[in-house]
Parts: sequence; C-alpha cells; structure tokens
Amino acid sequence: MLTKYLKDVIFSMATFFLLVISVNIMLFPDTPGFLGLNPHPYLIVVLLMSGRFGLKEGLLAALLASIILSVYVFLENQPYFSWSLLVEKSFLLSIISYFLAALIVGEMRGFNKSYERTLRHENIELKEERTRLKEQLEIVTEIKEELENRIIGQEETVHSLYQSIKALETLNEKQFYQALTQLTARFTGATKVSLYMINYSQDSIQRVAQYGWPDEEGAQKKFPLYEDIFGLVLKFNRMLTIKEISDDSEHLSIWEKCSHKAYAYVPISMASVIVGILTVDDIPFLKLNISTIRILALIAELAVPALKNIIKYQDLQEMVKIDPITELLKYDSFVSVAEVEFKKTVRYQLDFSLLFVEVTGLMQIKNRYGHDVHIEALKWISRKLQQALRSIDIIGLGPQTCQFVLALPVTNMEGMLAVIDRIKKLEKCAADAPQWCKYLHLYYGTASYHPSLDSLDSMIKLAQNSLKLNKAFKLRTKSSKKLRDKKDELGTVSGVKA
Amino acid sequence: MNWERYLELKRERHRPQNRFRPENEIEAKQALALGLIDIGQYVEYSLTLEPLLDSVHDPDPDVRKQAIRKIAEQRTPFSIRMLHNMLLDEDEEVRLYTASELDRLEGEMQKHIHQLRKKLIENPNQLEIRFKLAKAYIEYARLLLLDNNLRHFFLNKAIGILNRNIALQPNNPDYLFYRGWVYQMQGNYQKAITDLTKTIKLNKRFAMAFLILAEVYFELGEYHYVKWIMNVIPVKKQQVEEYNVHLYWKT
Repeated sequence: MLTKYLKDVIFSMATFFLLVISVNIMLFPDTPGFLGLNPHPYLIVVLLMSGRFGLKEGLLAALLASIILSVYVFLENQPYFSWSLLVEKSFLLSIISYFLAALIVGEMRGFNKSYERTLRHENIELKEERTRLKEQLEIVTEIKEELENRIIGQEETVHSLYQSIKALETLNEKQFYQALTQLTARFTGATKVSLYMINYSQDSIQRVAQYGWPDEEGAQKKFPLYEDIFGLVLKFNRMLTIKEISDDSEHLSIWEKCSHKAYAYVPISMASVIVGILTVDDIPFLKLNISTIRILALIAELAVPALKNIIKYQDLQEMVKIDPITELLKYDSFVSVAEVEFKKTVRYQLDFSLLFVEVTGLMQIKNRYGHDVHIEALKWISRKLQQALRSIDIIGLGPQTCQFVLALPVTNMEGMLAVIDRIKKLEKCAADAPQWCKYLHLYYGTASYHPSLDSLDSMIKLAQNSLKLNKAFKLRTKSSKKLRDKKDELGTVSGVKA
Repeated sequence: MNWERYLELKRERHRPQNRFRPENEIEAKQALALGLIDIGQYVEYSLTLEPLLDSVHDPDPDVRKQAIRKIAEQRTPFSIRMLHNMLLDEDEEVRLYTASELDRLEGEMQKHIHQLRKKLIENPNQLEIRFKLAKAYIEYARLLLLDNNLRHFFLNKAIGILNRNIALQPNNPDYLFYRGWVYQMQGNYQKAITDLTKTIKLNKRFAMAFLILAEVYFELGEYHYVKWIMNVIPVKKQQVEEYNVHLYWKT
C-alpha cells in the first residue's frame, strides 16, 4: 500500500517529467530529448524534486533523468548506437549535473526538513501544554464554583458550625432547644425544624422547640414514644430521611399516618441512648441533599456535649439548696439553717418565732392563665415575703407545695403579728399587683419560742397545727358567709316573687 | 501587582521546605497561576477560608461590606432568605448594608424589566425579548417577592408571555420549561408535570427540567418518581447543589 507521501513523490516526478517532455515535443520537435543542450532542461525536474522532497527523492529524479536521456541517445543514434556514445563529454556533464544538483539541493532540503521537524515537535509539545493548562483551568474553575457554592450555603463550614454549637453550651435548657432548631435551619437551609426530647420514665416524647412554624400552640405537645415514626427511629437508632422511609412501603404508610411528618429524623444519642430527636419538617427540595444529611449528623453529634453540660448544670441546680424558681431555700436546707438560729435562741433565752404561710389559688391561676403565669405568681409571692422581712430573718419553702416558712430570730409573738400585717399590706396594697392576684389567699400558722419547747421540730409542729386551724377556721367562715349570702339571695328572690 | 511580593514568592518557590502560604484569595489565585502552588494546595487553602457568613461580622468594615455583597450576588432564593434574616441582625451596620444590598438588587431587577418592556414595545414580535422579559419576571418573583399575591401576579404575567411564545413555537423546550417551572412555583403541579415532561422529551439533556420535575413529585409526595428521575438525570459534577441532590436520591 503506497503511502500518501510516496504517492505525492511519484505524482510530482511524473508530472514534472511529462511537462518537460511535452514542452520538448511541442516546442522543440527538432531536438528530441534536448540532446546537446547544456545545462540540460531535465536539471529543472531534478532541482524541483530535490528542493521539494530532499536528497533521496532528488537522486531518484537524477537517476530517472539519466535513464530518459540515455533512452533518447539510444533512439537518436539507431542503428549506429554504440556504448561509447554514453561516455561522451556532453552526456556525462548532464548526468553529473543532475546528481550534483540533487546532492546539494537535497542536502539543503534535508537540513530544512530536520529543522521543520524540530519546530513541529515543539509545536506539538506546546499544544499539549496548552491542553494541559486548559484542563487545569477548567478544574480550577470547577473547584472555584464548587467552593463558592459551598461557602454560600455554609455547607462545609464545620468550623463555623462547631463554634455555633459550642456557643450553645452557655445557654439554659429552653434556650438551647430553641437555638438548636434555629442553628439547624441556618446551616441546612431548612424552613421548619422541630426538636423532641424523650422522657423514658413516661414512655413519651415531647416537642420542646420549633422553628419556622407559624403557631406555637403545639410546641409542648407530647407523643407516645414507641408508636409511629418515632418508634422506627428508636428501632433503627440512626438518622431516617424521607428517602429511606419511602424505600419501604410499610414505613411510608406509618409516616403518612403520623401527625409529625418530617423529611429527616435525626436522633441525638448520649452514650448510645437516644435522648432526643431533631426533625427537619420542611426543606427546599434542592437543600435535601448529601451535604445537608452530613451537616445534620454533625449537628446531632456536636449538640451532645452542649446537652451534657446543660444536664450537668441541672444536676448541680438540684444539688444546691436554692429553689431555682422562687430563689428561696428548699425546706431541708431551711430547717438546717433555722436549727442553728433555734439553738442560739435556746442558749441565750431569746425570742424566736416561726411563721408558716400557705398560698391557695395558684392552681386556679395555672388553669386560667397557664404555666408561665403560675411561675410568675410563685416568684411574686416569694418576692413579697422577702420584702416583708429583715435581713436576719430566714425564709424557705415549706414541706408541702405552695407553703412557705419563715424563721424570725429575736422576734416574739407581737413582732410576728406585725410581720403578718406587713405581708398582708404588701399583698393588698402592691402597686404592681397583677390581675391574677385576686385568686390568691394566704393562710398563716404561727409558733413562738417558749422554754417548754425543746426542739425546732416541736415548734414546726405547733406552727403547722396553727396553720391547719387557721385554714379550717377561715374556710368555715367563708363557707358560712357564702351560705348566708345564698340565703339572702334566695330571700330576695322569694321576696320578688311575693 | 506587588513585584516585591512576586519576587519573594519566586524565591520561595525554589525553597521546597518552605511552602508558600497565600494570605488571601487573590494571592492564592495568583500563586496558582504562577505555579507556586498546585491545585491540591489551592483547594486545601480555599477550604480553610473564613466562611462568608462569618465575614459578615468581621471587624473590618470593608470585609463586612464585601461579604454581604457576595451573598447578594449569589442571587439564589437561599442567599436572599439569608439576607432577609440578616435584616434582623443585632449589628446595625449589617442590617444597613443588607438593606442597601436588597434595595440594589430590587432596583437592578426592576430596571432590567423596564428596559425589556421598552424593547418589547419597539419590537412587539421579537420572541427572544418576550422570553427574556418572562424570565426577568420569574426571577424577580422567585427571589425578591415575599408577598404571595404579588408573587402570583408576576408569575401570571410570565405565563401570559410564555403562552404567546408557545403558541408560535409549541416545541421550544426553553419556553415549555420556564412555563412548567412557573406552574411548579404556583403549586399547579399537574400542568407543571405536563410541560416539564414535554421539555424532557424534546431535550433529553435538560438537567434543570429533570430537577424541577423531581421537585414537583417531591411536593406531591411521589417519592418513587423522584428516585427514578434522580437516577436518569444528566447532571454534571460542576453543578454542585444539583449533583448533591442527585447523589442523595440515587439508588
């Protein structure tokens, strides 16, 4: 199979020779083969061939030109041809000129060709380099785009996420729950997020925080723990997303029936025990992706130390003697402090009084105004009681709920009654008295020190008995008053009828 | 360009033990162009970049401004939502910059719409201008309009324009895609499915059409369709967000 180059060589040589021979036949028919002409016209063909293709091709053209010329010499001298004609000076000069031209021009062309080859090689190398750089640029552009997208979405900002969650450690429990949902929304692009905490003792799970929901009514709603989708999350003990849920028709039907549908359920585990479940209730389709899932897992993992801290703080709060709502001493701690004062009283034969205060109506306030107002009322009462006391007096929570107990050192019965009056005044005349104040009723139980009382316990019992009596008396008075009022009312009605 | 710094970088290049550490993004890019750092190092460096949201509270006011502008330039619903959230930021300056950026964005979009409308009045039969105007309405409604009624008003306008174009070129995948997208935004899912399916039939490489169709099925709760679409979607790796979604749903 002839190569393209070889075909080109043969075609060029044939064309050049045919051209010269045609010119010879057409224009110079009297001198066939340009015999005797020097320099011989075939030299042009040799020059063209060697100049175009190089040494080998030039030599080939010179050989062909010599053969053609020999053929012409043979034909011209027939039948008198003799071999001596081929060694004639004019013939030899032509032949030598062909080969010399082929050699010189061919060499020159060869040199040019090698130079051209080098340049071409360099060109190829440069092209390769260009392609490589182009590819590199494309990669860099891709990376840049990817990075920009990541940065804007905060999707890979683990550092930032870690810092944010770390900051949650300083919050209290409620704030932490709310902040965790907000943080999840910020880092994942979710529009609605909820947080549920598990109460294993009650087999329930309670929604403790929500983000992005318009109404906060169901914020504190409780659900059974081992039913519906939460049961599945507990069973698998791993993150469940809508993709995995929809893989199983049974799970999907459970999910569809449940009232707290979410696209992702992320368990928050503490020492391999699930303590809470973070749910992504609504998220744009494009944001529910691999990156978001990774971030959710990360949030659940990073939230644990913060949660641990909060639990530790709660434990510490439990351990300390102060009640966190009223900021008063708990009963046990009150007794231990009052005991010291009582001993002093016995030793120095001083006055000492105990005052029990029971507050009713708090449940009514809770039912009517809600939990927050109930807490507010408790705080308000404790504040008022504190205002009525001196700095040396001791106040604490009573043994029962809604009971307060006051130890009044160096105070006799009269002084104690003065304190009760002060409390009553403060309760009634308070400028900041809220509207729920009318539901509150205070009952008092008192006991003053007498040398016959040998312990604080006996004083406490006396005070408690006094409280019981006081309460019973007041309630009886109230009911009889109500009865009287009713009777009066009935009388009026009957009077009207009459 | 800082030539002293450049020469220093050059010198450091010949010291393999002292690897060059770019100080900012521009320097990193220059170093990459000069071959002082390779792509791996550039990526490593870029990953350690301070996140854009953190830059919003940078002590340097220029950095703060730039960060907010960068967020605004993203022009995605997420970034705009982020800006709206930043309007409630504790820092007054952040609130101010954010408000000015939102104003600027709105101004630009309104100006663009105005120019296109003017062009359309001059050349009422230009399909391309009509299409551009429809796209501008869609972008405006999608990004900046929080009020539902106003949003629907602009989306309906876009549908009207696209309907006229589709009447003349019923097999143009671009027109069909945008109309399908608008239907999806309006919650008109059946019409969206019709348009988007037709778009995909006309152009099987139309990744966004696949994605929006998947979103429609996601909204409808037809998750098996979402998975099916995500397995055949012709999404490229460069489309990071779309690719991440594809990876998530791919089975």
